[in-house]
Amino acid sequence: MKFSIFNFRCPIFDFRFSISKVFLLVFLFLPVFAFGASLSLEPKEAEYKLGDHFGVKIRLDPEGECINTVSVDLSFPNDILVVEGIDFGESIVTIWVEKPSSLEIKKINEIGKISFSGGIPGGYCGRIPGDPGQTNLIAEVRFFVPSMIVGEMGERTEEIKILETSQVFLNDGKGTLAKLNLQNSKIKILPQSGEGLNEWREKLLNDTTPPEPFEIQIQKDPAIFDGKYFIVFYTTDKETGVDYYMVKEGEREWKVAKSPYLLENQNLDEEIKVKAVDRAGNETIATYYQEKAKTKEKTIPKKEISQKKITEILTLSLLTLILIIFLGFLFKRKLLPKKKKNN
Amino acid sequence: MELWKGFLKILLLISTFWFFLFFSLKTFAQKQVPTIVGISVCGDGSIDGFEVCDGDNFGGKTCATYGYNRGYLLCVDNCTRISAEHCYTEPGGMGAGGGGYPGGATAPLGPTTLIILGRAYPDTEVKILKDGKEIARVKTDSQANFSWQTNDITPGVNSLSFWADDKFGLRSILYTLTFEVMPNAVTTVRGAYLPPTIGVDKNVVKRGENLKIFGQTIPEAKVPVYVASPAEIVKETDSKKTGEWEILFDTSPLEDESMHTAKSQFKTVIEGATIVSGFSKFVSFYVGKKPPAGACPGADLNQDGKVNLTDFSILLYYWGTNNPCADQNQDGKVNLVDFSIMMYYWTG
Repeated sequence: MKFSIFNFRCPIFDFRFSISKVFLLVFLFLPVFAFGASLSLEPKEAEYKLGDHFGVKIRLDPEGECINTVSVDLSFPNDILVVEGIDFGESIVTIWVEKPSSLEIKKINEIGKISFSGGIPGGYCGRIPGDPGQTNLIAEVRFFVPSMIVGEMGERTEEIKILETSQVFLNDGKGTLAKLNLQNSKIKILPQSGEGLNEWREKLLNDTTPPEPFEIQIQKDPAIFDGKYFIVFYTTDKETGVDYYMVKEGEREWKVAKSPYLLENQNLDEEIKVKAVDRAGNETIATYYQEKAKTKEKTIPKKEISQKKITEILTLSLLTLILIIFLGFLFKRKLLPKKKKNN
Repeated sequence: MELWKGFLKILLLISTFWFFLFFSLKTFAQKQVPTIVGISVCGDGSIDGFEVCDGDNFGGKTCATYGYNRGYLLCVDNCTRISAEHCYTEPGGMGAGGGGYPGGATAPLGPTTLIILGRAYPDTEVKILKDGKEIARVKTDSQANFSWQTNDITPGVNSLSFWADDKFGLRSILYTLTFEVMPNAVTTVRGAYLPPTIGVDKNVVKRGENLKIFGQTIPEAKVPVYVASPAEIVKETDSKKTGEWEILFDTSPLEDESMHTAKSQFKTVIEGATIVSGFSKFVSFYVGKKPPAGACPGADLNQDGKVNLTDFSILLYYWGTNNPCADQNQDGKVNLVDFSIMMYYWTG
């Protein structure tokens, strides 16, 4: 009888250790010991029909690390999906290095790729116990499946991917790249007509909150812009996210701008205005008065503008009506006695 | 042959076990152990965290629980106290009232409120940042406690950061908490504890000399100090009643003519629970004769004493170039790595 301590038989379970079983164990336990931050897309899997609108959320799970910088490269099948917008409103990222504005959506749809990067001062170390939200959202990309697709279309399975070029950095003061696990989203497009419900449009219509008030800082540093005056500005928007900024110096036209912005007027003797516009069109304007050397914010919710305009139109119409009635009355009074006299 | 196969199998099993043990231990050892920070939302109807009630949820308690047979309970003091002042006893009265307002009315909607309770260093000033911008300053008491409350907060995801200078002028790390603020409710964050500050008495030290590593933290806590060398050296001390702590570190075990770093944290027991802070900033020192070269001002690119939007703008200006100062890690290119370093040193 051969005796081997390695191929022992357990009286209850007939379990023999073989190399293949050891490898099986290794692979079974691998997910338990997985480490590193993860960038994932939500939903993992979903089915959509032609004409459907849907959102894909990009979430960050630091898995016990503290992360301060995130850079996401995302690809999508642009022959069947159209990006309608990108929602940064509930993002945990507070300072953006690169963030596509709604003015760049056309280009995004042409290349089928979206890139954005930004940071969280002090880092993000995961969801705090008791937090009512999930609070790990980087952005939500809103897609549309066009109902008219050229050519015959059968059922299609596609993937929205977080590309390997995406990066996540630890909040360690050394700029260390974190180990990163990526999770894509698999979508099935069915050749049927969908409901066409557009949640993104609803969200834009319901967003009446302008971006947070902010200040304009005038700076001059020998290190940049050849020591000329420039302005620095930044704000956030909790609903749909800041879309873009515009700058106006004195009586000049509004210009789409990014911070830092080199001032055209280096004499600083004109008023400087910076307008932050969110994705729903709400605005917050910060003004820099040179004589007082301070900034003042003015927020204009989208709906208030339209109501203001309506009020103006109604008042004007009413005044015109009163004027017409008054003139008519005068005309009648002057004409009638003449008629009577003529009679 | 059979013996060899068996030997190989057992070797594979043992190495697999040690592989997992090593990596899991290493992973856990590297991760920062967070302090016990928690959020409770008063106004969402669910009793959580330090709450004893929420809205008309009294966790099954009624006026009968307090010895009355009529009336109703009220949830007060940001959900931390049940008031039975509207409960009473009526002879022959039946059915002690539950909670909430009489006649089925609901509590009126309150303002969106945020309360932060934390600890820093005794008698100092804590700077509070929202989404990277300074919005308030608050004083700590002699026990290093601070509290801050605001109604000027937009509901949704908010990043609140905290930092402070200690009595030596050493600056803490920027401690950030990202969470959702609920509308028309009181969101209370407890356990916002700043890690200790850390400094060294000299930046260049001869091997074998003692180096004083010091700082400030909460009073009467354990302060482990971690000195990075090929094998990490850990020394522990206690903080005084004023929060000050120091160790005299013998540099003999450290490699000569090289840079080294040290970091610390605090450990204490509060209400029976062991609280461990995150890590402090790391402080660098050189063991040897050659002084370290450093002409650039670090992340404070315009040298105004703060790392904020202006420094970020300067970094963006040099993005993609090889500007020697904006290039924080000196790898020849200003990129996301340098931005990450700036995020670490942010002061708002």
